[in-house]
Amino acid sequence: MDDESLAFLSIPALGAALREGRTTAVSLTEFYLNRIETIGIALNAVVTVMRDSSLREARAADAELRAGIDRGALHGIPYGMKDIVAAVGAPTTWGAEAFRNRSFAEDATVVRRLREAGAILVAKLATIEMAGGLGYDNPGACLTGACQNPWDRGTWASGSSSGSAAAVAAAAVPFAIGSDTSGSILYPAAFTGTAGLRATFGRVSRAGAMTLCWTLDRLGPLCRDATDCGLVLQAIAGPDPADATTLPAGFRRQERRRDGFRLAVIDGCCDGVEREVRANFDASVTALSALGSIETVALPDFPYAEMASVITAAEAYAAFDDFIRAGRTAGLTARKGKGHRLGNALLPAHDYIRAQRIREIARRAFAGLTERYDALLAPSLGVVACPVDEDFEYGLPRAGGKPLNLAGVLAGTPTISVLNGLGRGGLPTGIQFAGAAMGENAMLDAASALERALGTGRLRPPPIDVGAAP
Amino acid sequence: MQNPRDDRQDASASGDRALAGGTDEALAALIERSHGAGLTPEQATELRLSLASQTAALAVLRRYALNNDDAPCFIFTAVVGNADG
Repeated sequence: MDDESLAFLSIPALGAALREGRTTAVSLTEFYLNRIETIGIALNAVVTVMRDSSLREARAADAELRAGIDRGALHGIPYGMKDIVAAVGAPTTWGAEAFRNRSFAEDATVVRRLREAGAILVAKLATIEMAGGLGYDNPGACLTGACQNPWDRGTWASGSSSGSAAAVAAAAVPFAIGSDTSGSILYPAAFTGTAGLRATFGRVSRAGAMTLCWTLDRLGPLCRDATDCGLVLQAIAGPDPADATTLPAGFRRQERRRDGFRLAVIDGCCDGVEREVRANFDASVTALSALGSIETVALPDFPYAEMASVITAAEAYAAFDDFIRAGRTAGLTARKGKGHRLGNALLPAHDYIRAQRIREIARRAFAGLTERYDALLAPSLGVVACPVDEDFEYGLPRAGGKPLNLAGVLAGTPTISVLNGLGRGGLPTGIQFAGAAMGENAMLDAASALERALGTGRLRPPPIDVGAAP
Repeated sequence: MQNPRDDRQDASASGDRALAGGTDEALAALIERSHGAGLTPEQATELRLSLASQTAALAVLRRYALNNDDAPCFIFTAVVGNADG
């Protein structure tokens, strides 16, 4: 098998190679470290390479396998972590110059859980400054520079989980962890043709991760496909005393169905989207209609964008209170971030509470809809990746699936974006599956069924020439 | 000496009035008071854009009818759905 084919193997395929003795955790780690140090860095996707510690972990993983100790699907599998999550042995920069040299003494819960599952942390990956929490509209708002999209290095990987998405898309790591407050896993997944999963609020502990917005932040995997996302979620989900919002039960990935799905398309979700995005979405719906029933439903009518905006404004200001009041936003790379949050000092408390009160009504209405289906469907975004060197319109332009995304964001329900074809310029397009709270298995079953039906696993970005200018 | 946080609360209350019909200059003065330093022209521009967007969002939310017993959504202690472990 050539290196490119090896690099793009799924987690189960890499695990089979390990268990059948065709490779070792040390060999795999060396292999992906090499890709991180070349391709990953060329794409501006990497903050810190963890060569020594990862090889140490790999040697331990090999020793355990030889001794008959098998920690499960992620044993011996390298991965990357968004750099807003603390990991001992590397700085945790939050993507900002102000925190370039800051380190934490303890691992985040998600890092500890992945280590306990046998996964090997090879790199901390690029994030938009403070995960975009202080505002940004330029892809370059990032300590490591604008993160390039492996499908076309002249385009952006989106944000804020930029490095996680780009590194997975370029097969510089088999999987990565990102974070999402209002689309920061979903949008990079769509732009880079990766699978990005935002699980039910409370599935995954945020302890040790930067807080942007207590009632919206979630951590989740970016992977090759929906199957891999389920495996990673199983490893990182579970109650955690250090995060009071975690749910009492863990998550066990179980494929139950390959057809017979109950699905619904959000009415009007293709209004204003690019022609190819619509064509790929229609082809996906056609493929899924052979695997179950599909209705068209209206999204409950709520001011989702306004709620998300006001809630994020109040909580982000509070989360970064000291930073803002010390005048440190002036030092941000993001032009928007220098002044964007200052006005939130004038946001009345009763308006924040009002937004949260409307949110609860919307949450119940959306839950009522999601419970009737295995998943609701819409394009993940209405556009393909935008140029890496130009400002994008705040909130991303003409994003066809934005209302469904924001409904899931506010309701705390799970959503996954998977690749469903190539659009303008040969760039990926994505489709989102929005499930019911705690309904990840059914949602992942449906997303996997579509991936099989479309054969999207064969689609890969072109090989990266690390010596060439983007 | 007045606690700076008290300063900010004053600013927030007057900010609500200013948002309802104040001028850019009044808002800039409030922010300056709240943050204790002047703003660069770049920051002032972003601040104005942000305030315009915030004002528009609040106007939409304020039109939404609520009952007295409509409680806020803060904590997800009991999630209802297609529970499947």
